[in-house]
Amino acid sequence: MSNHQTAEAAPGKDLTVVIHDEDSGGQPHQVHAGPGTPVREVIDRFYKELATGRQDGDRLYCLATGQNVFSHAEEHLGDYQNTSCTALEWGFSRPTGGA
Amino acid sequence: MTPELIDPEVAAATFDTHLRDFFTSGRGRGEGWCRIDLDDLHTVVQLPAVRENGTVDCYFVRLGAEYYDVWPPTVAFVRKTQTGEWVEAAEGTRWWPNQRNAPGFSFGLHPRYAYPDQSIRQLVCFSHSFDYYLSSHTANDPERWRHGTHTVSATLSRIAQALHAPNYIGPSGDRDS
Repeated sequence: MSNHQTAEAAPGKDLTVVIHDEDSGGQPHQVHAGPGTPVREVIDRFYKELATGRQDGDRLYCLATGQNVFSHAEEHLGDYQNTSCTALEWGFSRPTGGA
Repeated sequence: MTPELIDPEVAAATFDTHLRDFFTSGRGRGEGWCRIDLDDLHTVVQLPAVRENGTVDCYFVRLGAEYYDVWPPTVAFVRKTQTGEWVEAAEGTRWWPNQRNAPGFSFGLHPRYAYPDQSIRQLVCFSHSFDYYLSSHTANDPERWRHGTHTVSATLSRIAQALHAPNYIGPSGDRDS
């Protein structure tokens, strides 16, 4: 069995979204929410936990696919899990420069 | 601001702590990742690159902690010679990736970059690589490496994102060296 932390059904059928702050590393954040919860609300709760707001250039992505989470903000978490990011494991980072 | 070398013991301890953290809690715990320590300040990290068809190629990135973590680690794609030495990878070999510059953030790979000090060597060009700050590039304030916020996790995670389809095509060639 993998030791990866992935989404799992908790009592009450809540889902767990595991969010890695890939800028700083460390233990990932966890947000628990029901499948009917809008993804936007999960994002808002994550930012509240970070005690900061969304900034230009912030990136939030499904770790397995690299797909942008913000573009799914209006979907229900359960639908999003079924169609876009099965493991509900996200990465978060702030802007990066380069060329 | 001119980079200054960090006390080697302090740099090594911080570097090791952050790398352990990355391999325990971050992407490094996934398949295809491993860490090969060269000395207290230098580590080679094997990381997986994923093509559009799902094929996984492994690359080796040498990280240096001489300025860590006030500055990001030095970064270079490397290959191992028959004598066991790690040397910079060249374009056209299977150790240098063919990568499109569109991973959702600014990122560039320059196999032979002319630095202001006249040296010509590799540049893995993004603001979480030390050599970026030695090149003629300038990061906007929100993009700069922040001591106390960024760790080697930021460096390795960005490279992993850049080396994932559709941003990653495959090795730049078939040659070994």
